[in-house]
Amino acid sequence: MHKEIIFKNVDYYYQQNTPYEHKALKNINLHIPMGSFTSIVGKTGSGKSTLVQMLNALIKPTHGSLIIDEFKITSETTNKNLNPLRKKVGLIFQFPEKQLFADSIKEDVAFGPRNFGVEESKIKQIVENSLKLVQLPLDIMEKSPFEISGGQMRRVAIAGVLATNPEILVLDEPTVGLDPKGQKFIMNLINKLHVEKNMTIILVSHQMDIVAEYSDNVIVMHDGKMIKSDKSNVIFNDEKLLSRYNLELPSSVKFYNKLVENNIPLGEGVPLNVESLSNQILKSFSKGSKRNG
Amino acid sequence: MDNFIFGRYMPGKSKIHSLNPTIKIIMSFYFIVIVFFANNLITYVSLFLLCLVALRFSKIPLKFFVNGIKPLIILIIITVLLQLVFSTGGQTYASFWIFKITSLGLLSAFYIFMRFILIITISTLLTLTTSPLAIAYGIEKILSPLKKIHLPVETISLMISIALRFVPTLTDEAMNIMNAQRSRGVDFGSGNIIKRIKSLIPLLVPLFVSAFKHADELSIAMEARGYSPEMKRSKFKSYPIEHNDYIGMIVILFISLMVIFLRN
Repeated sequence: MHKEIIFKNVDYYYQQNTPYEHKALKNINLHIPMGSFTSIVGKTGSGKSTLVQMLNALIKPTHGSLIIDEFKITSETTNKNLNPLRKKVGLIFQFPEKQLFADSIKEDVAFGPRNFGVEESKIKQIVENSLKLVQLPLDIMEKSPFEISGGQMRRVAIAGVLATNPEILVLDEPTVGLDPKGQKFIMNLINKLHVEKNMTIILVSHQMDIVAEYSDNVIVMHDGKMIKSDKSNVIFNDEKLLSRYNLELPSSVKFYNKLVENNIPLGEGVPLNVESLSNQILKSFSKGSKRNG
Repeated sequence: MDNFIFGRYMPGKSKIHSLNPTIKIIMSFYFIVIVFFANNLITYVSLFLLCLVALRFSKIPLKFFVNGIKPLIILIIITVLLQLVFSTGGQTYASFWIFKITSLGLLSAFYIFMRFILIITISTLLTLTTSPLAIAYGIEKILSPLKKIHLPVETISLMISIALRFVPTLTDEAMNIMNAQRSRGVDFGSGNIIKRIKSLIPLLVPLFVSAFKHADELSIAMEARGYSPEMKRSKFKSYPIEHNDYIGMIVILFISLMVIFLRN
């Protein structure tokens, strides 16, 4: 049994052998440890979304193989019996509210578990738990998913994926198009799932502040190639790498760099969120006052 | 499905691509009419050669083209088989129950086969080498005489170009929704017919919702920029008639005369 998700020499070509052929992934080799919070960053068109779809065997490697626990996906994998894999790996797409379709919120959340063969007697409990997780009041259960607000629709869609109780949760830009409060809510929810339920999180995002704050590992993609995969503090310490691939620094790191440039001594290691930045500043000040006094 | 090219556009800069769209559409229809005049080997072969030459000039790889229209082969084969076993007359080669293979049957099966191939080739070539916008322009020009009877030709052509413009958008959308539902455990395309139809609901409902949303947003965007169907509109792109258009017309006229003289 592998305690990792392993990409081995994975290529993916869209529309192979036609003039439209497009190489979306080129020789990807990756290890994502189970139980980690891993973020994938890169410009639009760098292959992030293709990589994510592969985790659910929605597309299969043109060459190479992908191993997730007991599942192995290669170009020869058939479309049959993929549901155990899809139950294990929950996928939340960009704008997940687009996948809502049922008459009521209750039915929509129950859709995934039903497809995966969960007993009807347990469904009600699962739906209620999932809605509680995303903090929606239970009395909206009977409403149509099309008569609630956009932010609530997204929460219902996320509840629909969480209802299938995945071990690995893959999210493609889950906060895009939400207000800061909504973004904070979604990220706290994901972090809670990671910490409390030890869920493996794979997050695709353009927002470096979010990536820096929450993830253990960061994978940098560019033009279908994996450029670097490392701990997040290592990645965000490497300003050259980030600027080379047009990736922004998190605002805490930017602030840190400004302070260091102006000869304000801060401890080693870039701060990945506002809290550790303020801690470093406080420390430096208390040291400074000791020296002066 | 990925290989299927019927109705798709492949950008390029060949002589066929740069023909005037109006003339290209008219020539294609004219060609299809001629196909029905052909009734012996030599006429079919000459039309077939014309297709090959046009394909050559379009710089579309032959292998790609053949692979692209392969999915239609099943349709052709069924029609050809029906023609083969049910038409009677001439010499009988073999018979089985109510089916007979006769010389006339063979001949008409061959003709049907050729007709299919020719019509599919030329119409695929038309859509492969003409952008959706150019097609809408061509249709507008062809319909323009109908303005005399107060038909809103420009509006119709705008509707066509918007519809064509949104085909790839909605295809992408459908793919995304399908993927989202598949990862929630829907298995499209398996099980009995009722199960299959049922599995389409989670795809179609969101697709309709998004199509209406697109339409709504587009209409607001157009109104915000002062669109009015009564206004006279200018074109961003012009399609002048050039040498190659005349050459094309002369060639196809020549071939059509040839077909009429050579047919039985």
